[in-house]
Amino acid sequence: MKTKFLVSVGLAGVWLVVSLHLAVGWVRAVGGALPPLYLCWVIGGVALLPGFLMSAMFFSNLLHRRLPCHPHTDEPVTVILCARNEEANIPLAIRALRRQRYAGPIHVLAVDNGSTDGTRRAILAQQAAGGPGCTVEYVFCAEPGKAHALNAGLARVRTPHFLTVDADTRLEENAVQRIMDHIVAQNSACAAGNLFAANGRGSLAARMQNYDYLLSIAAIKRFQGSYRSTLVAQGAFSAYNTAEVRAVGGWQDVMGEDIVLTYSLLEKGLPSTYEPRAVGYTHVPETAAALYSQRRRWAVGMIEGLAAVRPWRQGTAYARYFTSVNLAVIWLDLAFLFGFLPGVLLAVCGYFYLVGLLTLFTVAVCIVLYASMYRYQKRLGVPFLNSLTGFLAFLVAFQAIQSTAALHGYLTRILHRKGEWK
Amino acid sequence: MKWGNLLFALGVALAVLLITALLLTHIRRAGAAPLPRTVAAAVQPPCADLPEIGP
Repeated sequence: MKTKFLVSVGLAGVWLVVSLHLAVGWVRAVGGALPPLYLCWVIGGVALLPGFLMSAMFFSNLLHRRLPCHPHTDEPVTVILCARNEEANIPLAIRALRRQRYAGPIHVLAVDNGSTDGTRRAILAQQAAGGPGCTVEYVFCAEPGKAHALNAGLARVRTPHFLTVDADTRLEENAVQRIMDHIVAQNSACAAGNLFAANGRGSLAARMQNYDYLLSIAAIKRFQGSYRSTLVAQGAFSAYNTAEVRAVGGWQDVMGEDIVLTYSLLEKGLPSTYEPRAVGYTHVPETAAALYSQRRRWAVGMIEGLAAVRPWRQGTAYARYFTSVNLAVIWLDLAFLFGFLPGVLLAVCGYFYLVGLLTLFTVAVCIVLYASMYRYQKRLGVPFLNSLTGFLAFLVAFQAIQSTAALHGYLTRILHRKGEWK
Repeated sequence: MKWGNLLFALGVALAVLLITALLLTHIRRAGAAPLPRTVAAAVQPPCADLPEIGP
């Protein structure tokens, strides 16, 4: 593990040295046409640092192509399924759990977080339907907030491991077996599953996110998981060690409760891993506005995680590295918005100081990286949806929406809760 | 879309335009000639930005 990490970072370092050499020429060519400090900030944020981070990820993922085989487990497992006004989605989520090909018994704790629609009725209908190896229990939690609902579920867990699944997430039929095999064999404190967009043939915004899940999020989780430091065991589909989650006090009532929980587990030096063969399909936002709100929440969650556990307090060197990278992402978002985008506009005006014809070459390199991840996901044998317009929108527009929403989220969290950073 | 989100997004768009205008002014004051297209972005990364954290 250590050698592969050092090789990946070392090769990325070579990439960085070559890039730095080219950057010197770039700065000289631009001369005094642009403010030098601004130019260095932009080059660092849109070229050098992202190039280093992405190449480290690429090389590491190349070195970790083979997945370990895990023995099958038949350990009883509990699934916490939280819902608030999810009468349309929750029957599908529970039905997918009832259809699981799992060797052991599954107990579903369907936590109704004060729903005012027919969620209770829908859960009770599923409870009555029953099914071999899967029982459903209705739990009511009056206190609003996902963390409260999850903690209400956690209080009723009687198995060594449990899963969390969102009400709008449907698990593939082998998902529970695979994630349980993984967490038992790897002895992880938590293990994230591999999520795909359930509505990947929907609106353009949904089709675009299909590729974010398929190519970007999965690649990052694979990279972090290779070093047992996956930074987010997402609430939508993850497995946890019950005793370890109880030991850190369960979920905190924050926007990114899953992020803060994972960071707390990592702080104790516990492994947080990723199982790409355990697949779930989650409903992604259908509009750009909903996508913006979701990514803003994720950014708030990231800052909450960093505030709860500072990078230098993480339990392992790998977790310290990955959380420091998360901190650096703030610079990348700012440089993209206020460096790369003005660079595109300057290029339109005929000034190719920040963005030029060679940017097209970088798009080609980018496609090579994505193709490698696409091939990897394809090899897993998971059916997923393709859309050319979705992919093009992902390449062209996604980062602008994401970076704007993320900046909004960072500011929301930092300005409102500044004291906690002291 | 929530008004706060919309206003923030518009604010960012305006800031991008403002920065571009300031850069153009700086370039013209410096009297710089346009660069050949192939010089810039020679060291741009495989992707413009690093993807964000997952859900």
